[in-house]
Amino acid sequence: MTEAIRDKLPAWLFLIALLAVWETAVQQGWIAAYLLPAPSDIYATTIELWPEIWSATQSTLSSIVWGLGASFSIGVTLAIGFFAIPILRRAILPFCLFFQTVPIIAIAPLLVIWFGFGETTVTASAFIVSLFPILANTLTGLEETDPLLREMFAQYRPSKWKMISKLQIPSAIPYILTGLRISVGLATIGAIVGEFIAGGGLGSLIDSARTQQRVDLVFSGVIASSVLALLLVLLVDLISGLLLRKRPYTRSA
Amino acid sequence: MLRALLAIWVSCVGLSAQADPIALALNWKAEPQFGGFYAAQVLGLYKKNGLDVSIIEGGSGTPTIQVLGAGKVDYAVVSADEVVISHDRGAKNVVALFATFQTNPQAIMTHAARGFRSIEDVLKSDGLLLWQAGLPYAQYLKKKYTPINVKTAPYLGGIGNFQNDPLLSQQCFITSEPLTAVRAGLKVATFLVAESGYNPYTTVLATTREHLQTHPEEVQRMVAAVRAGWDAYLADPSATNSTMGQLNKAMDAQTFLESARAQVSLIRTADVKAIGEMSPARWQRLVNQLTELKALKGPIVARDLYVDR
Amino acid sequence: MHSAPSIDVENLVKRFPNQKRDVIHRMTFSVPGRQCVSLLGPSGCGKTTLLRLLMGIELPTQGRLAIDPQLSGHLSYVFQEPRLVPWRTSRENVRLPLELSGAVAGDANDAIEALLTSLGLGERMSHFPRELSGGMQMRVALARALITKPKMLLLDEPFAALDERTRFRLQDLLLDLRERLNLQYIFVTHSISEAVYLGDRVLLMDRTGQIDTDQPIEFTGRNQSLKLTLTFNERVSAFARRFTELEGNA
Repeated sequence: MTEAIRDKLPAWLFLIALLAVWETAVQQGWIAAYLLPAPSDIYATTIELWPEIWSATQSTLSSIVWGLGASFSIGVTLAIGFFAIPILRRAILPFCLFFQTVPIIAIAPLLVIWFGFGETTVTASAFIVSLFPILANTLTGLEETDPLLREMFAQYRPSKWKMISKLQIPSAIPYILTGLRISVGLATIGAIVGEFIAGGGLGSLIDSARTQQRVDLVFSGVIASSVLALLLVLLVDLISGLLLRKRPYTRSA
Repeated sequence: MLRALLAIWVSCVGLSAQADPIALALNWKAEPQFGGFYAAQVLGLYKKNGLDVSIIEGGSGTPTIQVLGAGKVDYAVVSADEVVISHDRGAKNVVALFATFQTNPQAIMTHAARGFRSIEDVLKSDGLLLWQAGLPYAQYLKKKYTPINVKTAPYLGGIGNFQNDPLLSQQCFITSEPLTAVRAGLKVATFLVAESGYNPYTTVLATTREHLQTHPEEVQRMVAAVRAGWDAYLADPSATNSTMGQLNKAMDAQTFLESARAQVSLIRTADVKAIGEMSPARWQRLVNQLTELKALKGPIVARDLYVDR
Repeated sequence: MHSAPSIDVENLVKRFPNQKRDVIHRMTFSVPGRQCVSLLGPSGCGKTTLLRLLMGIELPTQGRLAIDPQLSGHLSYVFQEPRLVPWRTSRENVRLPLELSGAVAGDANDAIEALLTSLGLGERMSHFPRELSGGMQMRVALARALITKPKMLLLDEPFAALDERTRFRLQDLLLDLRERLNLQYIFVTHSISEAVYLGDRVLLMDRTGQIDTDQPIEFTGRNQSLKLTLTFNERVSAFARRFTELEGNA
């Protein structure tokens, strides 16, 4: 048995045991099926309604990708701007904290008024919740460059932008990737919350299932959204791995 | 000696049974739609019947019928179609006791300027309709008037979006949102879903079969108190309205009054002698309609859904 | 007859704001042109500070520090650590000074590769620092220091963290570079034998920030190895004695 398999085996066994107990509990009637559906029910529902679930997933995924694209490009750009021009940072960064702390479920109805129902609002919702981790991590990465390297650079008296582009930005890459990894999960949550309010995608599927008292479909939708988030995180890890294998971006030698 | 002790013990049990606190969960905020339930509280009718009732408001997304089915509250206000579906999903313990609205107040509210004359017009139009698409009435309308052209989006309460968009229509209760809209200066045209042929009992008082079996007498007293509350509320809603107005600031006193007036004809109709009466034919019709909509997975016996007190 | 001294220091004082004592206290010495000097002293005596003053990274508190105008602007600094940029290959690390000063010429790549090859890194030009041993990383750092064609190197204990055999090889490499490139250097170290081996002259620094100069060491030629060894060993003993005296005084 290879090391990798032996490592993951306990988790898989636990999952199987959990599913078995869960299935039995519902089949035996210890738990009412309308409160907690059995895994077999959830599976059957997923298969039966796969076209709807798949199409909803695609819609949510599209909003996540656009929202993340915006938060990544704006977040990194803002961080570089704040780093290069300190007065901008002192003026604007405190307000960016708002993006971190605002409960998205409270402002989503406002977003609907501004952006209407549908994907624009959902994308905006995904953007708002995923902006700050990227901004904060990038900024930290830019500030935390190795002082030894900074001193070495300084002896050549480079222009500020040469220094930023050749030292601080590459040095910040691991931090940026960490921020992206965090933001991917948050963007998924933001998109689904947005969909509760503005319609479309998995959020709407889950909410509609709820009003139809179809708990099994609720679970299908919830599991689909978890799997979606997980796959996106794995994708970020994959990109990170490829990027860092090509060049060892790291803070210090 | 023993008999005396026994008598004391029985009356103590009886007294403590009378003093048991009861929870009644509503499925929306305090509005004239629930006037009778609040009137019974305000006018001391629960107490007179030996009941200590606390009323819990609901809102968009509150899982009232599940909360009842799971035994977390003793009584709840739900709609008749929810009861049927709940039975289908496995919670066969929910049982209806009292149907406030003989005519379902569910309606679609539109801007008068759009010139719609029926729900069919709305569903065939362009523009946007806000509703809770998962609800049976929505599924019924979608099936009856298929194909529908209008774009739909979730409805979460209020008239905010309706005010901002002259092309928008929304789900409502005829006793509530249209009155608020008119108050806000809008011209509206509202259409009852019941007129399209879907008319389940609404604002139905329900309990669980377990509670019915363990507290048969209490259930009877509860229904009596609620009936008396509704009689009182329909006669004069003013005292109850001021109490409800404290709980729900979204509607002003005038709107409360108009709403209370507007709903009388939906509650006291020619079909019933006393408020809240239910008929087997109506329940069977509802089961048939939901079966046709394929909202039910298995057969439902209408008789199991309600108990006439 | 006299050409200008490379470095001329008179009554140099350096004190840092938050300290009670001078790091460098009324130091006076002069380094003639072409002379390579070893700066020897125990840890913490201010050798690095003196080097940084020479490089212009720090400014004197008092006194005079003059560098031959022909030299200033053509100095390169070699740190104690290689300080290579981790995400750049050897080639790209050596290229860095040219990129930062905007002086990348068309034939720069050839010059870089030639330099790396001459330092024994011909097979390692596309490697990243983490793939190189400590000694190799130091050689890349040297190449980086040399790509700007400096006239004088300031080296701050660059071989201190390496094992003995690598140190010996790099010391010989430095001597070789001196001959080939006509390079002058100031070499800071706390190793007596290294100071004597690499310097025409050794300046001894003590803990009070003062300097004790000595006669230059004349090597009559590499091939006279026996004489070289005797002179070397004699000098090492003499310095060791003097060194211990100075340590005792502080």
